[in-house]
Amino acid sequence: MRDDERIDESIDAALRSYAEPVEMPETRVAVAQVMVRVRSQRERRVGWWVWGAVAAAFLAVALAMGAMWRMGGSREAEIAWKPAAPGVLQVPMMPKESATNRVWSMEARDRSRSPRRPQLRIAALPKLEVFPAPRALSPQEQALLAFASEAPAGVRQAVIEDQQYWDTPIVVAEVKIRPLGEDEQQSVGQKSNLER
Amino acid sequence: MRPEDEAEFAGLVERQWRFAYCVAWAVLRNAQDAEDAAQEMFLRVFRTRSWEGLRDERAFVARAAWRAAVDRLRGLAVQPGAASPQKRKDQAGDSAIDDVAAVGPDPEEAAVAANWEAAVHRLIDSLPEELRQPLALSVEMNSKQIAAAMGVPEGTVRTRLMRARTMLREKIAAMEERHYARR
Repeated sequence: MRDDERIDESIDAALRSYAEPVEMPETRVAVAQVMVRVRSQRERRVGWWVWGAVAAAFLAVALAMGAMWRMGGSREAEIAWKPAAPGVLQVPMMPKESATNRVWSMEARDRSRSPRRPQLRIAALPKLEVFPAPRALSPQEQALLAFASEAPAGVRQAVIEDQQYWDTPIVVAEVKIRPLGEDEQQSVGQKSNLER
Repeated sequence: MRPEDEAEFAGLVERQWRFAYCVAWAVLRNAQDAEDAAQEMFLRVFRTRSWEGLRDERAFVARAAWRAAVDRLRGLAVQPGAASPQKRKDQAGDSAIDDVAAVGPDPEEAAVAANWEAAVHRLIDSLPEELRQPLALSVEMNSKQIAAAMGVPEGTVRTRLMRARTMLREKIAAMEERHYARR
């Protein structure tokens, strides 16, 4: 029992020296070192925020430029078609909405497939089967236009009605002529003598 | 951070530096590693702002310092070329017993007394880590504080302390037996 107590005492004594650090930096020096590291850490963190803010600003500018580029592209698509010949009657024409959508959807598809792929921009063309190309009026058309604007209403109506039967065949009734009698032949002869 | 906050944090470091260092030392047993672990712990505490509004400052520092020291110990153990912890412990225990036992009669008695404490230190080092750490921390903290620092129940800490002392007693008895057998 005494041995156990003695051993316990030796253990306690050894533990006290065991837990006591061999060399310990002075508290004042240690506090100063910790505070220096704290301040440098805080400065690093501030620097990180500054760089983060700069990066965010650049990103915002890039996004804005991208949005502006897209808006510019849509304006181009709104121009339907300009006839090359000067002085020709220009009818304001807009592409059908479905045609514009198709152009945009094709561009979006191309972008999603490969950003480096050259984009094929297709100008929206008018539907020629719906809107024939404008051209100068022919002399006949000009004459028709003048007639339609100047002729009386009754004549215009007669022409319009007549147009309804333009392909109807004309039927001419059979003409029967009776031969001349003797009296009628004599009287016709006397008339011709008198005229001479 | 406001100047008054900085002063408050500096006060915390000043009050708890020695205790944090002792906790780290108990785990790491190396002055440089203990200092680095204690500094790293305070920096981590500052970063997370977890030092504000502490109810039990000492328990908080004990927990944080023990955590930092254990993390550092794991980092040291995985370094290339490092011997396994258990192998180092076995070698330390064997050499401690041999050192004390190998000392000759009379003139060596003084050497035995001088080396005795160092030999017991090496025997403590040879204990399994789960027993050595609470035993080393028991000088600075009671079992409740150790339990809070290590994150284990208090009953577990008491059991480990008892097992550590029992193992230590057996080792010391074996060391004495070999020493007197040689005489």
